[in-house]
Amino acid sequence: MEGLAYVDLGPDNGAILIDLAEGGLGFHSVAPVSLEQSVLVKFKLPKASGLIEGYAEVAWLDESGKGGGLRFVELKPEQREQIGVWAGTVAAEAEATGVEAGSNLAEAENASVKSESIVEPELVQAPADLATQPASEEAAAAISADVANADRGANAIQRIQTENALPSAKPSEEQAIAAAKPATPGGEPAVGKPSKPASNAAGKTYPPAGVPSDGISSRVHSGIVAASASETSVPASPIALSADSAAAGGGPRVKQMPPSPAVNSVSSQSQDRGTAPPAAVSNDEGTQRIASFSLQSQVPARKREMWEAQGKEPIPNVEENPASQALKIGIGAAAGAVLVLAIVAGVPSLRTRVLATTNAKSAATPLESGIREFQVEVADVNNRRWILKSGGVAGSPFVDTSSRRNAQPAAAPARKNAAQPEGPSEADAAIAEPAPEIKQPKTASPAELVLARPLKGAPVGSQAQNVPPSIFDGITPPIGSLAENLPVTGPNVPGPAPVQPGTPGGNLQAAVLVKRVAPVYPSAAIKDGVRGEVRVKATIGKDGVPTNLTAVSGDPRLVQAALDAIRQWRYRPATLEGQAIETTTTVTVAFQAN
Amino acid sequence: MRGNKLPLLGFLLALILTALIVYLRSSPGAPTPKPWNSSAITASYVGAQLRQLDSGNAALYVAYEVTNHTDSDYRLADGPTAVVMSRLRADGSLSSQQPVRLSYPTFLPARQRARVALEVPSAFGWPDDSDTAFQDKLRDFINQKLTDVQAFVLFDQADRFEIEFPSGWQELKLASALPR
Repeated sequence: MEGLAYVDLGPDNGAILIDLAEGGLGFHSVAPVSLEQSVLVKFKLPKASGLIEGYAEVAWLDESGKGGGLRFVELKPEQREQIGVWAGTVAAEAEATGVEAGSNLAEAENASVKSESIVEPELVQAPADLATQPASEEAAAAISADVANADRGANAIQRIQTENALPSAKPSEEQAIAAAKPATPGGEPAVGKPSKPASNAAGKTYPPAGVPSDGISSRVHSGIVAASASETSVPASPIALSADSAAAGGGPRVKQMPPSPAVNSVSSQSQDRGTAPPAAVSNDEGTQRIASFSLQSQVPARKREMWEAQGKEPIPNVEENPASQALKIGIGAAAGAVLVLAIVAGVPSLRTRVLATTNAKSAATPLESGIREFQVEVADVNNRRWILKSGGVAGSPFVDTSSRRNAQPAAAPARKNAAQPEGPSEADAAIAEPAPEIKQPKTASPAELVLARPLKGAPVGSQAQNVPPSIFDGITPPIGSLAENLPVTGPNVPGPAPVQPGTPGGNLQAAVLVKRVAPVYPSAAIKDGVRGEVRVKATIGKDGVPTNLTAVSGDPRLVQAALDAIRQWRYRPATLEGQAIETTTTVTVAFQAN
Repeated sequence: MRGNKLPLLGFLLALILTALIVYLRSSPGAPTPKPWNSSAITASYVGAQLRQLDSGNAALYVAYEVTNHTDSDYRLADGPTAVVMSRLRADGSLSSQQPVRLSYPTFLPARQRARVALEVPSAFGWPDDSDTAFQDKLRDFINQKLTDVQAFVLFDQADRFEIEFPSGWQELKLASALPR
């Protein structure tokens, strides 16, 4: 029977269908009902088009008042016939499959119905081979999984599809109430209890479903799976046929077993236990009558824990198909391999991408606007120092036009005064004495060139030490240490004067050219295309003024121009132990016409 | 073993196996160079100086403060294993077109800082003091050397250290280009 078959017992009560015959049905209700209560029943037969709907009354009840049988009192004849035909079909199919008739879930459910004439069925584990018997397309009924839960209103019901045809007796023409009647302690049959076992077509006995003794129902239509079902339930996925409480004395002995997903057997729920111990049914002859159902593939872990938490036998683990296990392992292995390879291959490329992004981002930044004002210290060979400042950055004070206009003239004369003294005395003043104070504008100009002035009162001859400290002091090489090793290049520019100290030994500092005046190219020499170098020997006095100029070589037409220029040059005199000394040197002046 | 643990087991096994294979394939025979370590030694900009070397040569010195973040002493020196390159501002690529060198070797103890200077020498006719374009010639020279450079990078091939000397400069505005 597909789906749950409910019996409407009023607004606050309901029942599930346990057994069905032409004359009535067996049920198990949530709440107790009373005898002769009239109820409306609705259910649907497998492959039937419409609902079976009619009125019935409670024909008998068990002690709990929840289980019993209904007798159809108002049912359309065609529906009654439909039930009979269906039951007969089930029985015929059961015969065709060789399964003993009379064995059905309803019987098992109601196997506790006790009669002296009925051999108690024993519920045993179903053999595995029986589980593979061909299924009946209709056997399907499902088994109520948890009647006890139903008692509690929980409606935890398990749907179990039968695979096998349920053995059943052929439907009788007699009216039968296929309601299971639980046995009463002491073996006394209850009212409506069948007095003898039903027999199937093969003549084998079987524990009948409850048949009211009032004769309303004379035959049990087995194969009707009463307990309906839901898909999952308590650890009852293993299907076993359980009868009512074994405590009933004469009732069938039920082996309560933990659910096992691999077990094929007929099961239903004991209404008292509320669980579904898997079992199979055998009749008194030991013949097992099995209704085989499709199984849940696996018991959910939570259900398994619930089952075991009740102190019941642990559920055996399911032996999975090796192919399935291999597949799962393979999937995991593939995932692991992909992960490792992704890490190995992805991290370097990711790093490359990050670097590329960083580089691109930084490259896209036009200029570091956030850095402080950019200054470049300028130092010539005479260790005169200036500060070149950047400017023009938006938002900086150096973009102020008026200050720039004011600052520019202020810086230029200062540099001129310091760098271009007109005579030796002025040159000394520019070097040895502090230059006139340069007024620093309130806002400096971007084009500002600030002269680093010698300190006031510094002794003559040690001007280089009087230069204000620079961040490059101690970082960059000392002035002159590199220039002496580099070739002199460029036209019209004399190289650094190789000053020969007059006295060897001691702490000697060479003379350094601090002011150079370019020679005037004679116009006649230009016209004649005269070019070349003029070498002049000179003495650098203690005051830094070159004297005793003597031309050593060079075109005569260029010598005078060279001498005139050299006379204007000024040197920082050489020092020995801090004292200025006189030295001699040879100066080369190159003339090269453009 | 529960069925739902099988994928995890397979995953772990494959993880170990693949990692082992990768390790074995990468370690023997084909030693791959260590990646450049760009965080061991860092540098921060201090200042720049244009120095006249002689009448026809000048050098631009860019001073940095370098920090050794490692627990090992480090010797920063110009040599065959140390290459200083310029990282171009345009696209971040490296260039050796402009010769750059460490001005002098530096010993950098573990967890210590020191100042170094990079030296960019170049032929430069130092302008005469009387030259009215004196400043602009200096600025132009400095801009020529630094404007296109985003940073200098020193690659120490021996220790696989990559030391980035970041930019701290801006383009110097030429006085002649400023509005009067």
